[in-house]
Amino acid sequence: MDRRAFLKLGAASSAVAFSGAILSNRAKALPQPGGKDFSPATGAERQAVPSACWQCVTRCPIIGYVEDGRLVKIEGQPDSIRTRGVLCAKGQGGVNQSSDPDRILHPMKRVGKRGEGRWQRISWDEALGDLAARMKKLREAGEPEKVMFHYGRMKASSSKLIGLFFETYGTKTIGNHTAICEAAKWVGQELTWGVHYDNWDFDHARYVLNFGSNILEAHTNHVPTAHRLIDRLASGQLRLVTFDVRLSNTAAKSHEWLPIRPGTDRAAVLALCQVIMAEDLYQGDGAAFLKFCKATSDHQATLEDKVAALKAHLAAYTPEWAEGITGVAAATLRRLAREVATVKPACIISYRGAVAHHHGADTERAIQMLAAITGNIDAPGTRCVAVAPKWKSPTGPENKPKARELKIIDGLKGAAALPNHHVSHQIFKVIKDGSAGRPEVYIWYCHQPVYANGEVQDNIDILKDESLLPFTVCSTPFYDESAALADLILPDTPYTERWDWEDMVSPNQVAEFYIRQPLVPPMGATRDFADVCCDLADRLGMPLGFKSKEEFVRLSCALTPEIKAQGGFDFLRAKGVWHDPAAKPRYFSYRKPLKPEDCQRDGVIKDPTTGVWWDWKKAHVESAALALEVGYRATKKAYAAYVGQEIDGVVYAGFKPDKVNKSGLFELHSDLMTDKGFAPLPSWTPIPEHAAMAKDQLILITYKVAVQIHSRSQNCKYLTEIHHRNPAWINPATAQEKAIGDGDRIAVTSRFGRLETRARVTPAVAPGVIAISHHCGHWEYGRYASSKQAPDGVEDPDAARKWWRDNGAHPNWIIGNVADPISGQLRWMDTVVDVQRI
Amino acid sequence: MCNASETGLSRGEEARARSGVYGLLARVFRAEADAALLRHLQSPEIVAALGRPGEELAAFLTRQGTDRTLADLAEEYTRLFLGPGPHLSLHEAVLVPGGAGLLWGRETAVVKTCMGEAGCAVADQAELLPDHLAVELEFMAHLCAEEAQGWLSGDAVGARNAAAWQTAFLNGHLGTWVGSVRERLEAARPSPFYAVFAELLCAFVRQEVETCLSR
Ligand code: SF4
Repeated sequence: MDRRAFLKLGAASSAVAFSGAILSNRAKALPQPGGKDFSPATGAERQAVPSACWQCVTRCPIIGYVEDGRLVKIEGQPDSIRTRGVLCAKGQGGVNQSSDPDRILHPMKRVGKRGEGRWQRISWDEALGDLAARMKKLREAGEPEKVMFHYGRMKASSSKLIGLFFETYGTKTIGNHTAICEAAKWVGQELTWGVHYDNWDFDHARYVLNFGSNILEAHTNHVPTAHRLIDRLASGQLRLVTFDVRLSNTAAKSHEWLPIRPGTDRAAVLALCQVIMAEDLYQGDGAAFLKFCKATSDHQATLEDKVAALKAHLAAYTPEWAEGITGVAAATLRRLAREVATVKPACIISYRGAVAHHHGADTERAIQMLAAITGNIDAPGTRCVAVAPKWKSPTGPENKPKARELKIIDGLKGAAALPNHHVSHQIFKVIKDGSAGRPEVYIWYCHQPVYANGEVQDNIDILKDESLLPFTVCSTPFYDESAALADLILPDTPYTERWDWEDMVSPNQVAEFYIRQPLVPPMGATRDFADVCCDLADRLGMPLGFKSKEEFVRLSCALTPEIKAQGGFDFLRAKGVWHDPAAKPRYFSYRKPLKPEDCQRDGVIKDPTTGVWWDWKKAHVESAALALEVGYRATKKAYAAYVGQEIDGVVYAGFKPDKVNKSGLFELHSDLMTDKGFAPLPSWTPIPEHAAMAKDQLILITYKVAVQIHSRSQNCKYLTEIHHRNPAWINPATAQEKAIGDGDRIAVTSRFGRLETRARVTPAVAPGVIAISHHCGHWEYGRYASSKQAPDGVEDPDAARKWWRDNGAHPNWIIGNVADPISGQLRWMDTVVDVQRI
Repeated sequence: MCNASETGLSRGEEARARSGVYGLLARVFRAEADAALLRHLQSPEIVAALGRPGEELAAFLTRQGTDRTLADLAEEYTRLFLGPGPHLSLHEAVLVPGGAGLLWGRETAVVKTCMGEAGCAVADQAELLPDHLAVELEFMAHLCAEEAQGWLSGDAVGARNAAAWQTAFLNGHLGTWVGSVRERLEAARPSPFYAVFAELLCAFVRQEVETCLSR
């Protein structure tokens, strides 16, 4: 019975409703868990400060509890619709960030050779005076691009403000770190449905098919999605099937774990698609969705044409074919194809296990295809186009210079066909190569380029070389492996001492606005790097229009209508989070027809080759005639001028493109891929290294655990006490072939280097594989991460209680900075290694 | 709960209708059927609202005289839910997966506290434990009625509070064990009467949990 029928039944049944078993008053206010905390020593209520976590990129709303001016506890924010008050261990461990005894509390200048570890404390005035003078000199010489800024984590207001500073200064030589995260996934999405980020609507899903996501331990929207998935699993309302090389905790909580050979997920997905098309299981929701898809080179193809094209393309990808590649039985693949096509709604999810490979972007395209032909796109219970709050913020000075750029952020020549998110892991190689020029001032922020990329020795050698990088500046709260190679350290505040407005995606398709505010004041002489940018801007004679991040956040609250209406900055300071209680979850946004006037606006024309309506004026084309002649696809950055997509005579909002000139259709067939020399439809291509490996060699894979962030949490003693060593997982059959026993010392050697660690023999990993977690093997980052005190470190009574000596092994020493030729993604899971007992 | 534009009802009307469904289900599982209940179930609005199950139910209820049907249903209610002998004890503490498996188990105490916090208690004369299926359903009926009253009288805070209680109770209690009721009832081979209502119970509560989650 559907909802309507039940409500009719209810409306007609009010006569029999009550028996009087319940005696009642009016319901009292529902007691909210959380939101208050008390000192166990004095019983006094602790000061509760609403803020936001920043241990990982999920940025969950939190409440920090302060006692006697010290941050003593962090809990979830019960009023958040994203987390519903849930917080992970990493978030709770954040309490160690402020009180880390190895924090850098003062600006430091190197006095010995770079990397020698000899430092002198200096004043902020001296530090920023020196940096501003260098920046000024380059700008006056007409070479502002020789100031390179390289960030790791930078989001929301931090991203806006710091980006504004460098834009106003005039450099576009700005590196990020997305290629070591999930660039392949984003490029796969940009090629299919445009603006990236898929939200997984577990609240309504009945079936979840997981390709290589360890969502219950780590994810870019971890707590908001993971706790919902757990809720559904625990109440028996959802079936979870996981393809993963390793029995992660997500795989272990799944109804079914399918240990798959590394890098072969695409073959499995193609086989599922083959069965669905061959058995006509696409009919119904899948067929309806195909109306919005491009499945052939003709954007006006009929449903029959699309179906025929997909059937023909997939015909060879049978489950029997895939079994030989993936190691997953053909019968299982066939059964799963039928399940995912018939249990509605199904949410198909993916992450690095599937995409951090050669042609990983094509794997994401294949997964998008599977979701599309089963009709599981942007509908309740499926993978949806993400919803996030839209903040407005100050835009800085009006007359900004035309920024200049060194072409060094997209990798070595030919590294990636579509480096939409750049190729950050190869930046040092490109700098060494030198043919595109080199920065004279290299500044990094919230980043660990030495430790977080592959080929660690290369990174150290290049960053240390003053002839390649004359002046290096690091903004960091902690003395890590990269900071050790800086010339100037600007002590940043940890997130527990900062301001921000925040904007992460909501798991329930309703936007949530929230802020971060200092739980305690900045310690020592530390300063948020965004505040440093405001100061530098003044020193460079280009004031930004606000003096601090706090002011920037305050102004943003006043500029953002939704927040202004609630009371602005003061309201959010007090409440921490806000969402519109009347807002409806957003689904099916692509189906919205545009108003006729949207297409009649001046400059808006239809591109006959793609059916895209676009604004040639916004795309900076000289005339309508030229725009029609050159066409949408061949016009630079035409995607930014997209208006809508015509389908059967109606113009729909469609799937708005981003970063590439795709149409507004959901592109299974991509002409952009053809242009770049790849197959237009998702296709199987073997991983070259795997195809060429010797029989006794293994594939190295990496993973994250639930209690650590990739490289920014090992200074937290609570977390590192739980996870500090990472023996290499190896399957018993593989171990036996190599005469390796549990606990044996082993050497793992790749073409990039050699590391030693211990073996953990376990059936929880597929044969032929060796799995080593991230997070470990630090040689700096303070006493808890590396057993080494930082130069500015202070006493900590807990240090005497540190019972572990083994800090584990860091796999990145032996992983290459090798890019997916489509997206530039670092191919974390493709390294071939020799493994021996020693 | 479900938004008004999807159902064509205002929030207040919708909450009132939901209260009606909970109330009807509470009545069915609280005690043996009586003539008033049978009459209600055979009314054209109910048969139409129930669709195919409604027709099956109407056919079952009219295949013999009312007295005979009532006697059969009374006997069946006793066999299924009261005993003596093997029967289905309709209590959360007994049936919730991983629960105490006992009458007046820890879940009963938690439900009683929860109802108390919401300003409710089980009337002594009801002779039912707080975690009896009928009581939990009636508690929900009560909360929905309170929500309806809030919306219809312009008391949005009260309405939202009542809705928040529903979400908490569905997620923490009712929604966690109605699946077991249906499974166990199925195994006991009920007549179409209880089979239909077990299905309706499960489907409705599942919808409710989903609707609550998406709010
Ligand atoms: S998922 Fe955990 S670490 Fe990440 S932001 Fe949320 S609480 Fe912090």
